[in-house]
Amino acid sequence: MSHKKQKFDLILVFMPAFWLLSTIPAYAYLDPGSGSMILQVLLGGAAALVVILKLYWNRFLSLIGMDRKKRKMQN
Amino acid sequence: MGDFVIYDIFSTIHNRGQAGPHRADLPYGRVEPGPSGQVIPFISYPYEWSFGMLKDAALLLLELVLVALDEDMILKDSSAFNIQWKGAKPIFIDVPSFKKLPPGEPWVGYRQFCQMFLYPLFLLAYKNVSFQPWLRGSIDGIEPEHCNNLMSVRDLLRPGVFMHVYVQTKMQAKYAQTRNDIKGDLHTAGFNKGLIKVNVSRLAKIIRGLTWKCATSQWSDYASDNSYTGTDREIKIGFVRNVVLSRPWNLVWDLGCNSGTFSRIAAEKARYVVAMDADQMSIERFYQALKTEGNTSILPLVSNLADASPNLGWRGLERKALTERGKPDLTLCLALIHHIVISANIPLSEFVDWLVSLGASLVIEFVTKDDPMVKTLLRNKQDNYADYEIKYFEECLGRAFDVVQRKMLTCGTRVLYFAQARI
Repeated sequence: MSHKKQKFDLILVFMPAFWLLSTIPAYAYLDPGSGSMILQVLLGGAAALVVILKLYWNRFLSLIGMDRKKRKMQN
Repeated sequence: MGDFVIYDIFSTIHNRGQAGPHRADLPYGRVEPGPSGQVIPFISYPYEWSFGMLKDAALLLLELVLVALDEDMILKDSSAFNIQWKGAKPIFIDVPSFKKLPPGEPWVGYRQFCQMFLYPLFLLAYKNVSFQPWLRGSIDGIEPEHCNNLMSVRDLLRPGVFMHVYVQTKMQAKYAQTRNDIKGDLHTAGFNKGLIKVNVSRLAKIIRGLTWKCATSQWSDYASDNSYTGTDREIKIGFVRNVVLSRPWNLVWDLGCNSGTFSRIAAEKARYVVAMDADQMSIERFYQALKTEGNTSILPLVSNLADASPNLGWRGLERKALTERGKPDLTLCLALIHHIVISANIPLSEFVDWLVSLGASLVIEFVTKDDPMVKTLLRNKQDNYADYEIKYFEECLGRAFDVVQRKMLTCGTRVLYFAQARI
């Protein structure tokens, strides 16, 4: 892997990581798998960029009431 | 070759449309040329493995995940208990763990892989803290949060720590109470097996790069740093070899095996040898040597007999105690008894009773208080070991065994016995 690509990968991984890390501790009724599953997107390297963007775009759509899945179900 | 077996399994599962039913105790994977139905000679657990054994087991599991992904399949869990050993060769035994990978689904065994393989290896490689007591105390391995608490800021710069420990801990906390359908979200966003492959390949790279840079431990130089002369060593080897060659043995336990000299002699005639030592550096060195040779008849295990593996898990039934996984028909107990009695404070008669309970023939070496090694053990310790005396030892031994042979070494402080259990 070239040095440039490694750098690019690092930026790719760290940017969303910092955004995702603003946490408060949660101790009750732990769902042990969800965080690790999301993390796997960050660990997916360059190919994960599209998935990350789509993931958060879909979340954004959901926030403003334009959830595709819901609309599909309603239709 | 292993690949044939793996693909054979995959085609079977594809044809059935689901995994299993297979017998979980059949060894498949990278070792045997076909699903021959061989049984693992002796079951062992990750808390009895050395660093290199856990590392090689981890790499085998990752390799299997990669091969499975090529077939649009995956392992549904990553339990270290699914790897067993035939000598120094790791064997994956849980064939029903292979399942079809639904499109868009992440690797659900990732967190478990971290807890049971990656974090224990980090613990030894980065912190020089043994993982065995932790794995024995926690059947699910080391939690991300606990591993994270052990890591310093400097450790965050070491390969794998930032993402797999720190970020994972934070993500777990962030999403602990999520109401989102994470799997569904990932699927919709286009998560695919390519991402899993990248993660698995990088994990393998991190693990391959892990080393245990430990200074020589208390025991590791024992083979070259002990109180016997070359002549006594030859006598001892001859004594053990005579016993070993006297008849075929099914399972030999070499207790306190150190560098494994006598395990190797036992393996000349025995079907299988389990070599145990409390010192993990000795076991690590022995394992690396056996691995290089491709040995499949000697299983090296980290085991402190004064505190051997007990029954563990749900109702104490999930993982068996050492003595419930198969008993030997010959036990080698050479230069060990003084450590059990004087270092671990186990009464001599108790230890002999335990040896009796194994129901095996016994080669045992008694090291008297005049021996330099025993003197070292007692140097800064009050001698409360009135029972540690050769006459009393022979009396204890004679109660349950027929002593067939007795040989004093030329040093005059060590005596070898071959004793057969009285039926």
